Amino acid sequence: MDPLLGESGSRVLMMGNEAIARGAIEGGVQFVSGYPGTPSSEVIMSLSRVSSKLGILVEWFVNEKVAFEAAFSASSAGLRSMVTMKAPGINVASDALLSAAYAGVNGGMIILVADDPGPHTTQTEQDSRFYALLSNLPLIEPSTPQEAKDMVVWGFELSEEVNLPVILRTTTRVNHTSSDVLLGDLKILNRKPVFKKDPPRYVRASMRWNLDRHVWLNKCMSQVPSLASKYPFDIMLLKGDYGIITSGVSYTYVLESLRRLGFELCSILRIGLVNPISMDNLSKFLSHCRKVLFVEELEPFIEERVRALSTIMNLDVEFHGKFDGILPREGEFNIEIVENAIAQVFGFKSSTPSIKSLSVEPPPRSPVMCAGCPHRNSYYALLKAIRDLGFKVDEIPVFGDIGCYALSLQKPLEAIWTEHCMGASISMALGIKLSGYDKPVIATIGDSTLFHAGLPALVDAVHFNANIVVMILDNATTAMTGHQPHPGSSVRADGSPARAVDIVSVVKGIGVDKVEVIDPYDIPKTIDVLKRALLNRDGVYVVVCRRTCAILSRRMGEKFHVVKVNYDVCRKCKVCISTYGCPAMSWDPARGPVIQSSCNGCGSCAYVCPFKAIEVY
Amino acid sequence: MINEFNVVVCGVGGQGILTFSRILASAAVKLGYNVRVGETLGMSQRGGMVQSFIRFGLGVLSPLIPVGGADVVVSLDYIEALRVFKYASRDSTIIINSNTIPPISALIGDGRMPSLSDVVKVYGEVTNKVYILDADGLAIRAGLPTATNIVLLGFLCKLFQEILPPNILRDTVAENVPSRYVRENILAFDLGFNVNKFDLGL
Repeated sequence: MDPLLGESGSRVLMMGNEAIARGAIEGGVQFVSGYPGTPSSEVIMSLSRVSSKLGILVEWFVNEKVAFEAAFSASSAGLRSMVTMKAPGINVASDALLSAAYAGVNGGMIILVADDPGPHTTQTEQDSRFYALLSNLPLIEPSTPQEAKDMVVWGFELSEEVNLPVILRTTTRVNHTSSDVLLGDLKILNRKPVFKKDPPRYVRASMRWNLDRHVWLNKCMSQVPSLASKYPFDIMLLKGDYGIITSGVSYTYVLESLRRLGFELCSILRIGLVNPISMDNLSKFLSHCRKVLFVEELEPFIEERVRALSTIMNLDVEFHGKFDGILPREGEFNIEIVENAIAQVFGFKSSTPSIKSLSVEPPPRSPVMCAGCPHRNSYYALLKAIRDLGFKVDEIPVFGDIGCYALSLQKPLEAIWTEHCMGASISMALGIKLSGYDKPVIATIGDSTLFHAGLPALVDAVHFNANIVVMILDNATTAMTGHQPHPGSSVRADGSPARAVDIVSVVKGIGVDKVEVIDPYDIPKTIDVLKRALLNRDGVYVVVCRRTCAILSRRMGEKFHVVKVNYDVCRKCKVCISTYGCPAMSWDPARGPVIQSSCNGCGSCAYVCPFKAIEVY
Repeated sequence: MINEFNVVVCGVGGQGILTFSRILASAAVKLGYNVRVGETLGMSQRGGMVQSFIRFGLGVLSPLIPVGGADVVVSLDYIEALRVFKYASRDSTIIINSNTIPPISALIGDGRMPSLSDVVKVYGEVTNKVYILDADGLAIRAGLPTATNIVLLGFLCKLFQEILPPNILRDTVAENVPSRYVRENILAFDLGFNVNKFDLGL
């Protein structure tokens, strides 16, 4: 049986994101939306396994803003809903977020935003807790997968009691940690959507109404701490008069550090209701302690607020944390960092051993595009086309975007110049062209990213008749985050059929009249088409590089060629490795290139070899 | 019942490190322990490095293993063993597969490739419990070349039978691998468990 449907009272191993998914089911969710993004994606991926059985809607939407608005609408109509995203996703959804706070919800709504201290897989170490202040909405944060599940259930209750969406903020070390989780009861709600017309609440066109709703929102928020007090969001352990205020996964590092230091008398306030902070709990804790250390990752969010509140409460407590440099604002914490900070502030000797330096360093192992990845060919052909036309590769900007193809920044291709945010490749190519850049510029963008945020920029590029090349790297999936479908796919999240939106028709519909579709496994043709595009001097030229992701085609059992090296012909020039860099190709100094079992048989390396030493059968 | 048992597993994306973790962690749940698995799995499918921390015991709380805190280090790729060196101490047991997938950076000439004996020497200076195993070879013998992870799990089980009862771990292997490859995986586990020819450290 799927662990998501496990029996109440059983203890099962679950990843944090699966626990959140289970929490949504235990909370009676009926509508779940999101856009893929590490470390949040597994919530919808796991829910989509059981959604049809439970009769709940679980779907990947085109971007986080649309996903948010759809879930918000479901909750306006009385259903319980959840929307999931990684940290940059809440930036995309923020316009909708702030207005939603003024309208409030009828059915409970959870907004999951997964931050990434480290960072492991995110462009910035954004601290999304500030969105709770900006939107003036409740924000809760768990420390473990078990709490992540429980807080979803309590969050739905709180959301309905206070009529506001509740932000569930997590970090990678909760989302991607697996743990034993005690399951609760499943709840099936079967509510029918009822949307009552109420213009002062839902129409933001009247400034008078907006002022009234602002007053309403502040009043609701003032009730949150007392409504939330029946759920154990905060954990308080009052012992000695030295204390630690902490939240999120840092709480677990604090507990282990105290045990290692033998500091059993330390008092702890673990804040789970991060916005608004419960003044009751805080004043009780601060009255008890004369010296307090704040242990929270990224910004001093709680520290700053508690320091301000203690002034209002007229309490004289000695505070330590980020403002005096005891703990860093960058990177993720671990037991060593936390233990050293506690030892330093409270006068203990840290038990952490010093790290011995290595006498031999391992060579770096960066993620690379997979064996048979069509994107490698697209960039290889692009760089070849640029050189063949007599340009230097460092004078033709190649704007990148978010997806697997950003890995083209690695050696040997080193292709993209930028990776900024979703959809920025086209707008940045447009911007430099409109600034008067007189050489060709290229935007490279994936299919899912094009739908997410690339289309508005393409509309402007057509509108201004900007002379740019747009390569759409269409691998038929959202590959980087685990192969989720997108509007160009013919399936929905649960695998049921969907109507695929045709990229070429969309591009033509916008008004691009120069559109070509090529298969990047055909390298010579790809080079020819890209040369034509680079020489175009009028308007937008779109080249759709279409070939299904190599991982997906392998899973679907597609058979390609057998690739062999003819060592009688090979001159060991290493061009195959130094210019193309497929990870299926290793090197034996005595023989030359060695094709490994990870080869998917695309045969592209045969084109790359100048001596025709690679044979394809 | 033990209070804390920490295993670091590392290797390259695609080697089945997450499956290794899931099996070990599921077995620990069955044994009634608190369990945490902390994983660095971003872009693991793209040939990047993967490190997984499996912790179980009655007192386990956080998902990370402290420096010098590994009871066992298991490396599916001997180069990758160097990247988790800081978790080893003189009490640690080190289990290393005698093979490596050279990173592209080394093929292009960015870094010198350390040899297996370099790696053994590094660990040998810290602990005398360093086991080198041709797990790839045993996996091929089991009829499933991708079962290197399960061979190493079998060997780990052999060394820590009092903590990890072999029958429970073997059953958990069967529950967590594709049903059509159960036979090969169990064989791989048993080959790892019954191994008596390995290079012991220096």
